[in-house]
Amino acid sequence: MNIDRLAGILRQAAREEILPRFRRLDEGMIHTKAHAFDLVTEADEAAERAITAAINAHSPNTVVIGEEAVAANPALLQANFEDRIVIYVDPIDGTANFAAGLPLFAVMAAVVQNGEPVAGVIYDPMGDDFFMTERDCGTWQVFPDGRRVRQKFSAPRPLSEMGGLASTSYLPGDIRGAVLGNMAKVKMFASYRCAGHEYRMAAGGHVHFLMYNKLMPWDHVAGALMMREAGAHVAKFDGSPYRPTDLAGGLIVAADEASWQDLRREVFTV
Amino acid sequence: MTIDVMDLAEVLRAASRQEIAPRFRNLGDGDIESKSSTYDLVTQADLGAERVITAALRARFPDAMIFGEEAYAADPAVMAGLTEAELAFVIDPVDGTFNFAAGNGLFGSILAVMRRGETVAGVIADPMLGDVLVGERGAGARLVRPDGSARALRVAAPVALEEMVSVLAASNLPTPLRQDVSANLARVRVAMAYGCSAYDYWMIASGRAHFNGAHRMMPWDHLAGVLIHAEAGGYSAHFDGSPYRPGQIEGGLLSAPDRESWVDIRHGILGPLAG
Repeated sequence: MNIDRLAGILRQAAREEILPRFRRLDEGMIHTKAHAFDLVTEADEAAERAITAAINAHSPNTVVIGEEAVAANPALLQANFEDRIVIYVDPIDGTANFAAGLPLFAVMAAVVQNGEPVAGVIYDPMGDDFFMTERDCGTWQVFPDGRRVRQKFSAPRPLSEMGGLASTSYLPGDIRGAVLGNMAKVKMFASYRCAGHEYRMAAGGHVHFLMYNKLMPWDHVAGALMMREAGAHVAKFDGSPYRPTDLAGGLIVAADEASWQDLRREVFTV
Repeated sequence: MTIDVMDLAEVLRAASRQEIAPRFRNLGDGDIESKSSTYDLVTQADLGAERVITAALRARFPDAMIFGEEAYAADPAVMAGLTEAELAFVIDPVDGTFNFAAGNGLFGSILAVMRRGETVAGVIADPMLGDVLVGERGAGARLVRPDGSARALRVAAPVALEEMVSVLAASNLPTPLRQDVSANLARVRVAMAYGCSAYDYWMIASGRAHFNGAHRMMPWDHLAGVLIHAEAGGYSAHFDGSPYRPGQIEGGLLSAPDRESWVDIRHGILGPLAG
């Protein structure tokens, strides 16, 4: 599927299913799935349905995999689709922010062919703009007026000068404490509960590292490709490459391999 | 002199339309000037919005003390006498400038009104959507959307520390407190750091997070938020347990759903040595 068409599908779903429900003052539509902080909203479900239907209408042979689809059929995460194109979809990345009325959530899609990520889109419904990447073509911000700006990951720097973003909630308790304590070694640490926007900020060179432990493909395949295409070093905790079928093993993104090793040794002591 | 809090909200909205929203994600390299570091950015939006808000307030309240973060950066003397002023307005035109410059939507405009050392009204505005949190001393706090629809704000119900969501930014604390608090935050369910005081207070005042804290409290970051949070039922105090004195910069500040939660957070997150 053409990346601009895919981007247009995400935007359409945001306009019709997501934005009209943001900060709506009746909250009856929000219900809990696992616990109070894993909120799934009607917007999430409706947007995934709309995106899936739109992709299938253009590309009937494409497999569309999102959180809702996997909730209905967990086998999708491990299935072998051989040479069929798979598109991972996250209709609202940052659902907790969305539910809390924070304007920091994203609509994401990643295209995988023969097991390899080939394209990714992260759309921000608030700013109506896209971060897009295609393998070997770089990472670009695409504005509503069509202007395109190439994105570049930050230059390497000493640990004490780094600012970064990480999601530590999914680390085991004792490790989580150690990693959070280690954050005092870097200049700035924040956590936005929205991987999509964190990848966007990193692609634009505004932060110097990212770390994730839980690796659902709709959350990370698009962003990880964007990082590589923006010049970053991306690897799992054990140094191996990240693949869309990896659901665990952690992910660290840094300016280069030396910075990655500094972070792995000094901060992400898992 | 009567203060119409929704008129103040409209002042912030107008400044946003004119000075903030048009510049979001539209920053050329020349639009960011470094103040003290990469993470302390001042944009033209910041300066422009403060100028517009100051002028609008000056027209309404010619005798009031009126200043903002940018005026203070240019001349710290503008803050002298804040807690004694008969009527004072304190402005943070763009709170969350790092987010603004980095292209994410977590930034807000903040306006606080003080009378003789007491915060009497506060407004936190989302410049992009025009939604505002407003609080008036003794009259509650509410979220008001541009269409006029509104909802009363209420802090979260008290829970055990392990169930809490934190928005306390440990990065802003001095060493060694920073390291202790960072490690202790592993005790709570979710530890966020949004880099935006406006939305930190938005979260705790609307019951979406349980606590916030700071080591130094510049008044434009905290006056309005603490009032709105208090009017939503919350409890704030300095690290030593004394009541928050509006305008006080040193001594730390911790905000929680109630006093019992505050004590749990004070001991469980800040630890025995902080103060």
